[in-house]
Amino acid sequence: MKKISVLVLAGLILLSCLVGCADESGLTPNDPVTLTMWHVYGSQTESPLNDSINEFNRTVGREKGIVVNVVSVSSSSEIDEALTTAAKNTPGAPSLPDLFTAYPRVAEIIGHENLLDWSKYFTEAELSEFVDEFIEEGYFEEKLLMMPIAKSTELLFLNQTLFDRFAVENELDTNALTSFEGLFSACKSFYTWSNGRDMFQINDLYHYFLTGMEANGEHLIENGRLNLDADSFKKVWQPMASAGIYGGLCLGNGYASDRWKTGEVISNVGSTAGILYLRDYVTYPDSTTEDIETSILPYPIFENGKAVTVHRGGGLFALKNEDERKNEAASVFAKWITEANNNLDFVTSAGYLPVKREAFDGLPEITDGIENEKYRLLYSTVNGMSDEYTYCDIPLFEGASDTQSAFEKNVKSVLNKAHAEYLDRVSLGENTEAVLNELITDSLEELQALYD
Amino acid sequence: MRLGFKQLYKGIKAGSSTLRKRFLIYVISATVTCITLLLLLLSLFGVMNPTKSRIENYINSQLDSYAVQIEHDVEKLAACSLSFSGELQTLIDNYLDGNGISFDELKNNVEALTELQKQAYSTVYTSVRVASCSGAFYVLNTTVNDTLSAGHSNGVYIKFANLCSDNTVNTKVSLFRGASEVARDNGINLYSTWQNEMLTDAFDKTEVFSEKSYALSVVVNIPDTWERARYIYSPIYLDGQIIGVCGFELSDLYMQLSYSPTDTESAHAIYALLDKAKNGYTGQLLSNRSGFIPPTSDIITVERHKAFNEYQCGNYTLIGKERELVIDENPITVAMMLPKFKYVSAVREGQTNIIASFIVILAIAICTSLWLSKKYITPIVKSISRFKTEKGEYTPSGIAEIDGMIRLLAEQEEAFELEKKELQATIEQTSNENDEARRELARLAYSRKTEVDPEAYQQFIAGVKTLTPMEKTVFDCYVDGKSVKEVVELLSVKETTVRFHNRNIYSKLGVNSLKQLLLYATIMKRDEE
Repeated sequence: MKKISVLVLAGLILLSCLVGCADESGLTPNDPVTLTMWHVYGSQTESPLNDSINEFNRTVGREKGIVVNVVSVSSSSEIDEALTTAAKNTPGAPSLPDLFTAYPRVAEIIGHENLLDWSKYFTEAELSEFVDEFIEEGYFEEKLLMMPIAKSTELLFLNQTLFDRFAVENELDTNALTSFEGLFSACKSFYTWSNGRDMFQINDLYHYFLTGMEANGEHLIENGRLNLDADSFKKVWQPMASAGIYGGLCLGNGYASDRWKTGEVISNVGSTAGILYLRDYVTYPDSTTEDIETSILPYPIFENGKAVTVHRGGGLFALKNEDERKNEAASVFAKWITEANNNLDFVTSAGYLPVKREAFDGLPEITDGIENEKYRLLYSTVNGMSDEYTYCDIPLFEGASDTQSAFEKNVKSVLNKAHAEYLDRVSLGENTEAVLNELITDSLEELQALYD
Repeated sequence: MRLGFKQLYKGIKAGSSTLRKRFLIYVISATVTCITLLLLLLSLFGVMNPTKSRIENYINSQLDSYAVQIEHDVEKLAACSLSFSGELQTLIDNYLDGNGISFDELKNNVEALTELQKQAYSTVYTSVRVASCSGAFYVLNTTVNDTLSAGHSNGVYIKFANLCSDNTVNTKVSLFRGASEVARDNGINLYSTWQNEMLTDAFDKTEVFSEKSYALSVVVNIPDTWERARYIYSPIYLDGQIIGVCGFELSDLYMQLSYSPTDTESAHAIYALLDKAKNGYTGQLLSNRSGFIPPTSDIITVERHKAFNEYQCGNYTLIGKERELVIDENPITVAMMLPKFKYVSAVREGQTNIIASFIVILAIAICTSLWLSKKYITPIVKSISRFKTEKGEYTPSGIAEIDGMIRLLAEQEEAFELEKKELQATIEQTSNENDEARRELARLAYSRKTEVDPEAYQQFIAGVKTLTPMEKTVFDCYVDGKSVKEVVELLSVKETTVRFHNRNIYSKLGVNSLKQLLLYATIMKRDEE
């Protein structure tokens, strides 16, 4: 009797173990884990990252039971905003996705404790394969919260077709655009030549000051505050404000790529990734279109200054999930997308730079093999800059995102106001040069006053 | 105790098993029978496969609720579309009147059309904010340039730029189609695939409105995007003529965000809004909560079964149910589906649970039977054992039936002892009588022997040896005390035959009668002893 009872009991234990086994954790293709994702690589039209993700889903994802589902492809500022409202549980806010790409500043908004520490899923050897500066940027208090998957730098994009019409008549060529001083001077000429149209737009005014001051040996951000009283700030302010107040520098809101589409602005400095949005034609108000040639030039330098540009681009964040399978799945995806070949496929179709040293150093070698002529031109320009330029990171400090957007808003506001005043006073017959110089100084003081 | 069921069965069959074994077998048999009957009943009433019926009930109820919601939302959106159309009609009418131009004079007039767009923008913007949609538009049967090879239609089309929730309160819009100045003036960005105008054939602007006030389009690819959407749109009239349409976009993404099931139960459920096509359906499959969404570019074929329909969508198989809705003459099919592999695994899991439960119940039943039999039989066995050892001093067990049986056995034993004694006395007496008879017989034989003629007796002895086998048999029968009749029956011969043998026997033995023959035979037997 006793023996039978023991046998029955053992059977029950075995049965319960078997039932328990059905819920065991771990990735399995029979029960795929789906990761929702928001990212900034591409647009509603086309997204090279989506193509890479589809490739991942078809191959490794299918094999391991991971589905990366892109819910939103948008701009970094919109993702920032959506993440902020979601993190703060603002009424009507969307729920946070499992994976998202963003700038380092969002780590602070979402909370370090809510983000996955990638270093737990990557070995030391794996992490050492990344470009040091890129991986270092992802660390927050010794936790690797942002995994670099693509970086970019800034270049000067030029609608060569429309520029040539202006340049021929004004005896200019693209050599005039190698320095900011020359570029802003050309802007003013263009404004006059075109009867009041802008030639040039800076996508990130903040970066302009950042690189300009670095080029002159100073920093825009000192101790987490804008350093607007520095001499170099005034030096950098001068040519830009001149074009802004006179005319020719676009101080409107929105991306330069919008005005590129309509030919309203024919050049801009912005991220290499902007190439995705720069069409090969412009559309005019009467719906006619004109094919254009795009030139991609090195980031302009400051006369008597060092050649400096930024390394920009966020990285991949993952929400720390209670379901360890999701964390594992996120790390599998992160490893796949940063693997040298996969990473090169993705970045070179989006205008970005690879994040692993092997791929980064090998970029010049593969440039000639890039099929798309515009992209080939882009990487040739990037390769040409690599020896001459110093790359600076965008400083990360508390409130960096708000500081940047408020600064840009204030600069535009001050200069737009000055531009309007300039036009008024000039129309009243005042001396253009004198008014311009006065307004350059006044506008700088007005801006500085906002931060006193 | 060793319990082999085979042995038990054999034991019971041979009628030699113990009470405990029998009882155990009966209890287990009863339990198994009860469980089997229970399972049979549960199976008959559909309770045996609870997962299957639970999923079916769930899909039915969700489909009901989904159909009601879709019907309500489409009607609401249609109402918004009608209102939108009315507002635009008034606005265009006023604009044309205010500028003293006719609708036809808008053609190729960039300034006028751009100005009209600027004025209409706020109406479009308000509509996109009020309606539950992913975009709003109006498009007129006119263009800024009628010389272009592809026909263009002028209007404003705005879309939410970063749709990540069905709540679009905080979501920015961008200009998908329309003059870029409209975007500048209103501080919005151009959509990445912005164009100045729409292609003329994007909407059927006339035919569909002969019988209904709005149209619900099938799902189409939004030009220059990877998005798919359907539109709800209404005509814009001017002097009784349709001059354009306006309405709302319902992109796949927006539908997913709006209608994805939210409860845990339906994590894998997929809602679908389908349009009938030649060999099945096209339409929108809205990803489930886990984000899974099968590709929807192909025709979705359907195989109808009793419980669920089976939908084939590319390589993916889904099971589900559907319902057809007709909203203002616009037919639409709503469906709720589950990936088939999920359904199969859920049903299998349910079945495994039932089997596991059955095994557990069975194991418990067997254990209980063992325990019960032990509890039940042990007092009986003990009582019997005590009855065996405690002769004459039996202590009552407390079990009425056992005590009654023990009492009965005791009484029977007492009666048996008495009968035994009487029987022994009878046997003794009979034995004495038998001895006496034997002695009398011997004495009688001896006295008879002295009366017999020695020569005749010697002839008898010699004659016996000469008897034929048949005669010897008949002779032995007589010696055994059989009568002639009995010999006839015993040897199955005729009486005349027996009598013929008798004559020969008598002749050979030298006797005259059966009595003399038996006398000599008795003496011979005695002499032989």
